[in-house]
Amino acid sequence: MPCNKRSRLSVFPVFILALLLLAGPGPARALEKELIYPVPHLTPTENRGLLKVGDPAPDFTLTAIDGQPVKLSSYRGKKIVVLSFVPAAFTPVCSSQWPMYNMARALFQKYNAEVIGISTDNLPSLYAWTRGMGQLWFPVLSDFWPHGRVCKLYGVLRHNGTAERALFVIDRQGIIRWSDIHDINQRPPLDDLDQALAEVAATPVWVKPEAGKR
Amino acid sequence: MKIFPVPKKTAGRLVAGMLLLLLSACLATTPDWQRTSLPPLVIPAPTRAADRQYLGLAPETTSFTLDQIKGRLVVLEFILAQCPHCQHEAPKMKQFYELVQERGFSDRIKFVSIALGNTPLETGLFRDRYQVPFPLIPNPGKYVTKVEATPTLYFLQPESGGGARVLYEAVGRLPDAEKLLQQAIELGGLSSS
Repeated sequence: MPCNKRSRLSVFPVFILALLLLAGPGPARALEKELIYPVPHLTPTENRGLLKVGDPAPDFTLTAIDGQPVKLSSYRGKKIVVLSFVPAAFTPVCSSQWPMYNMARALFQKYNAEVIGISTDNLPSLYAWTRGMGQLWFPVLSDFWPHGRVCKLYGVLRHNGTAERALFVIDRQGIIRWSDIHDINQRPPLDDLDQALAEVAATPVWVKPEAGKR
Repeated sequence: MKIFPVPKKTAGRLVAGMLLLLLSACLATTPDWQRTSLPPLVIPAPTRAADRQYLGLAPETTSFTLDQIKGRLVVLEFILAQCPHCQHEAPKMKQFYELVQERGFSDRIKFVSIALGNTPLETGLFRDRYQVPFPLIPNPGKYVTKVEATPTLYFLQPESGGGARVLYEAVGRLPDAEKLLQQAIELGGLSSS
């Protein structure tokens, strides 16, 4: 690159400096934002709720990103389970929901609860995406094949093969005690989940309300 | 760096031309989101007595502006409790605060962090998880101010009226604690006495 012409050499360092300043150290966030797929506003929910409070949670086994199978009923008698279905890896709201649960581990420990993350993405996608969340303390499962099988069981499969943004709280008897099929465009408030967990922890066994009472 | 003998006129013109190019390049690449000043911000007061004391706020304060903080330079941070970057940088911010204490600047450099859109529950979890030693204030309602990304860190010189001059801004990944302290001392014109 340096020219042989003597008259140019004196401005060479200045030229390089200009190039360096033009290149610049871009803000770190720019690289992250490039990995997030822009999503337009979506229909808040497509499904009403197949399962009701008091229903047994359908059992399933899915593979986690560490390659190990996770079976829901293995938590029976041991932990309250929070199933967190999210629509898609590498999309905006999803990218903040699990990091919140990751940060809030103490809250789940307080209730002796496990979080299980599920989406219909394949394992490599889930793996790559969750690398940006730091070390997750809870398992992340892929419902990719048969596509959306578990989402269907829970009534949270959308028409385009993604899951609803849905939460289920399952007690130690395997009974659904709370669910929230949330507006897909919004992060479900942690305070609501905290309240639900507090109620389940306070009444460990579900009691069917008397007929006529809500 | 050898300067080869060239006709003075040519060299002079070339250098001037390059400097002009350099200047315009710098101006062209200044991101829109970088601010040189902040408008008056109304910040909810921290609920813990120790935090109010640290900032020099009266016990009955419900909200405050930056010029009410007793200090010469304010380190103002905006985070989201659910943002992985903020979680990653939290230990660094703690180190920075501790360095300020150790080096005797705690009366002159004051820290405030605001968790945009987060409830007291979410903010408290973040504070406990990362042992945040300075006031971390939940801002569940209307954002105190909008930021382009988090964490956003400002070094500010508050002005009467509630606004502030921005001495320094960092977004995303932050420089290490030692560098941050040096910047604060330099830009804030703070001597080590």
